[in-house]
Amino acid sequence: MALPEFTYLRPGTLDEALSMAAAHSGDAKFLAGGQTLIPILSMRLARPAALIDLGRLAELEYIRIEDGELRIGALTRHRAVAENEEVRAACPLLTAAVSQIGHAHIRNRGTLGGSVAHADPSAEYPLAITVLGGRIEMASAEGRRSLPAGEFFLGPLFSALGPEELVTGVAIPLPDPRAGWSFREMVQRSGDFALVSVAVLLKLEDGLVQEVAIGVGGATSIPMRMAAAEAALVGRAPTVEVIREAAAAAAAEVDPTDDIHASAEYRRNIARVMVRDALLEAVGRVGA
Amino acid sequence: MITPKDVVGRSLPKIDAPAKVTGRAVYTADLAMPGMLHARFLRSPYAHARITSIDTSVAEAMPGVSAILTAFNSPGPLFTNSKWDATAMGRLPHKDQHLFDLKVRYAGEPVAIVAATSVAAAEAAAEAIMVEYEPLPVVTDPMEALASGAPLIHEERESNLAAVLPIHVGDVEAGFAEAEIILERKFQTSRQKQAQTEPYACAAAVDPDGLLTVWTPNQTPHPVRLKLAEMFDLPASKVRVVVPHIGGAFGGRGGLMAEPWVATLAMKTRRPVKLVFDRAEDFIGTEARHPITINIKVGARRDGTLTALHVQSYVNAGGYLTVSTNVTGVHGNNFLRLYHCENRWFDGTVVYTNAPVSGAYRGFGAPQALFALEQVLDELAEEVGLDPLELRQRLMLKAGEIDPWTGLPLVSYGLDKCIEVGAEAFGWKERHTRKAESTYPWRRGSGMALLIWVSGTACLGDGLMEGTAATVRFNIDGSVEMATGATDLGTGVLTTLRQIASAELGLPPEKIHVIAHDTQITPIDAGAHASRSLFNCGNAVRMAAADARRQVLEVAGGLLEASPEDLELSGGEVFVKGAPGRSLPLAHVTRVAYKKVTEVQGRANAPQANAPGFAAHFAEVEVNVETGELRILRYEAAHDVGRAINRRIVEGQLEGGIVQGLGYALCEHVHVDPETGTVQNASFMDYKVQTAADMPPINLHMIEVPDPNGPFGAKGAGEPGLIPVAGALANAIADAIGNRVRELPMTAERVLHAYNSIQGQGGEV
Repeated sequence: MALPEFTYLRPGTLDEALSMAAAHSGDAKFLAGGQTLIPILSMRLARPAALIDLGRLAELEYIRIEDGELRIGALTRHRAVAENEEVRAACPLLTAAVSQIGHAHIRNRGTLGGSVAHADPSAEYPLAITVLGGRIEMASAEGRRSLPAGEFFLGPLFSALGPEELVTGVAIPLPDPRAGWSFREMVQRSGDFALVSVAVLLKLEDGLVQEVAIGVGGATSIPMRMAAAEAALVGRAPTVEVIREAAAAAAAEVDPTDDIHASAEYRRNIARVMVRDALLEAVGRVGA
Repeated sequence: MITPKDVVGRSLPKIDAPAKVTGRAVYTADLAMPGMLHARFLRSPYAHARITSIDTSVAEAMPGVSAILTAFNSPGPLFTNSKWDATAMGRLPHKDQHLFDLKVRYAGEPVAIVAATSVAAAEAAAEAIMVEYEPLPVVTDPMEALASGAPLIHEERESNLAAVLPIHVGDVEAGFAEAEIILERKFQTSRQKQAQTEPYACAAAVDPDGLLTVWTPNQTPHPVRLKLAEMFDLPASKVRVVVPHIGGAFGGRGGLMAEPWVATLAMKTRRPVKLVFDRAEDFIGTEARHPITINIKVGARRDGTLTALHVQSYVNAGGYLTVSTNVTGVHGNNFLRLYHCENRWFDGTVVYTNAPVSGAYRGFGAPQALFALEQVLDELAEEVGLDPLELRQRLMLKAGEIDPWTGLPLVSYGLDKCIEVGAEAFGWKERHTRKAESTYPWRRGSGMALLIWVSGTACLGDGLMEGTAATVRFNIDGSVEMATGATDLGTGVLTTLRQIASAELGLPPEKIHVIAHDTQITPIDAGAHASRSLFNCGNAVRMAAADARRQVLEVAGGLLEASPEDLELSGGEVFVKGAPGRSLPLAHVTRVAYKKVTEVQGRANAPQANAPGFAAHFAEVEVNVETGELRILRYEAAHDVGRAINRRIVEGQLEGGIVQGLGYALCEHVHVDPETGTVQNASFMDYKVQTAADMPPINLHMIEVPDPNGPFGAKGAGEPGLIPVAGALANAIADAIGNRVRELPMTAERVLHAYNSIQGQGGEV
């Protein structure tokens, strides 16, 4: 269908954008890459009174590594992150995650802010940021704040972001360069939404698991850390047996639902296989 | 000199390629006319409901709204969406629908249509129409729809049984009594959507002397014209159907999906009207491939000989009949045709349900049949200890034998060659040793399927009218125009037809202007279906070109004082054979011809003949037995196409068909909620059409055994690529995992379930 009618606004600065949102009392949507918002509008799933086009806010388009953190601006396109060599060197898990977003056309236009704000439980950014322990930075006319990913994502397409608030970027602590990692998805066709996605970040000390973060997307209502699975690993040598145990724990922890693409039971089963494989891959990548 | 050798078999560029790659091709949605209105359907959210009232007063008062049609002011005549009642005789589908009714029978059925000055105004007005529905119980499954107490969908009928198509030959009871092995299996096929890139669209205008012109991306313009003429009580001469470029059809664009509604608006408003579907409407408001429940029982002797074949199919027609009876007939005959069996019994039970309407899609009932039949043959081969290929070779029709469907002998036959070439390229004999190359969790398997198809249905001789004609005209200046009734839905058929005319006339193809896609100036034709266009229209073009050439040579004979038989037409010159000095420019001959008689115009009707295409497909897959994921390692498809007149176009047809077959086999399915009858995945996000990145290597082998009745030996190649794919892949999967998936699509989840269902498989990973 044709897009519903809306007022089109194009601010030149972040402050201007935020006051426009405030002026519309929550009945405005921020437009960045448009890869989710435009289909939502044309399917009439949303009818905001105004669209605030962020295209001119160059201040939100950045990739910086400083003070032990990787900081990415909300307007940074997926492709810019996927092809950034510093990101690849400092945080290969994120590179792997972002490279699996949609198709090339989508990565050319889609932005970090859009992906995070949409809070799709099977999307790549939310899962990667959750496992990497990143914080979501937000701003509104009232001021700025940030939340850890675990407190930001609240449910399917539901987050802590206020109606007049804008995601401005993320800050991700740089992982230990020796940490092993994995980011895997199962898709029905290339570029599709993942049926199940798994991210793992793992550190060994003297052959024992010192720290591990296991996150699952697509089989849970939010990108979720698998606490029991992590507990099953910490302090133990990551043998195949131990990893199987952790994978089984993750399968018990996920909470998938049936939909037309797969049953809950299948997703649970796949989560187990994928957590196992992701852990094996991460252990194999642990550096000296 | 230009001879057939120079043109036939050459991969010349498509006529429409420059327009399409430069973005200048005009599609129906691109049309703009002075004063044009934009239309929008209001569609029912209920799959089964009575309409108690429709209040259009608010909508009518909205700015820009010109007209609103509903059941209260425009019920329209009783009609059927099927094109067959226009061009066939004998067994016809019954008429069962109106433009608008006070009852809706599927979710998405039109309830009203609005014409307004802009798309936005039409959409807003459609939303402002207030309809009161009295919801009725919904039934989407054919078995449930046949059960007593099921909600009655067409209340003038006794039950939801729409039709039964029986094909009974021999004595199946005696056949089963004779059998040493009996296999009885059940299969369920899916609802595949054509998923054309271009959403459906239609425009209509009535000129002051009453000519109704309809623009539509329809693959059967002449039948559409006849149907509209009947519906509006007009002579066919007062209806003109123009087909702009088509952005995909695949069989699904042969009925009336928008034309009579838009035409009614144009007649009522006296202004041009255009309607463009959105993507969701395309999924719910146009036909899809029939889901069919198949119960198949085969009886055989220990040597593999079939003694009885019994098939009962339940065909889900959806809310209206459309072409369901025709599809069911083709479906049934594809069980009973290729493999020898004296005792054959098919009943096709066509059932109304509140599911969306099913209809024609490339293969027309055959992909469903082969999914079941080719799997059962593999199971039989295992039972009797024969190689699946060897069993098929024993059972299949041979050259010269009578084709039981058409009753005609197989005068051209390339199936043995397809098998030989395909099996050799695939390494069929070595397939077992390759199994060891896979490591856990991957398991490897190989499978195959065979196909016999048609080049049009004229061969069936049961009242289907497949005649066509062509005209080839020499203008006074010697330039040439060829008019054909063929419709090019992206198949390249117009390019190929021009090559045929070129070969016959000895003129370079670019010198021949092609006239098509307009019923006012093209010969009557049944439309693009049943892999017939090249075969039927190609014969007509060839004969018309030969007729025109004969006339030119007759006139030239007088001028050159030679017998026409001693003359040759080539490269724009007429000359005496063996005496190249004695020649005349073509333009001179045509000028004289015009002075003496009139323009030179050849005409021809195509013959009604049988030319089945054949195919053998071989697939090797690897299945991940922990996830059910599938990798296709190799796909060899050998096709007997008679003669590839434009090789690249034929390759494109076969490859495109195989790609759609892969989608059918593995992932495509329109999900219909059984409770509400609504479509749950009416978008390209949720309806899974595979992408280029998902394609396995596909190797085509073109087998050219010319058919004596085909133009330069050619046979139809539009549908055969698709039909055997699901059967071949199903057999490969079964070989890999040791169990069968009997339901389409064969998703990873279903494959895993089949694997885990075997005792001792699956479990802890």
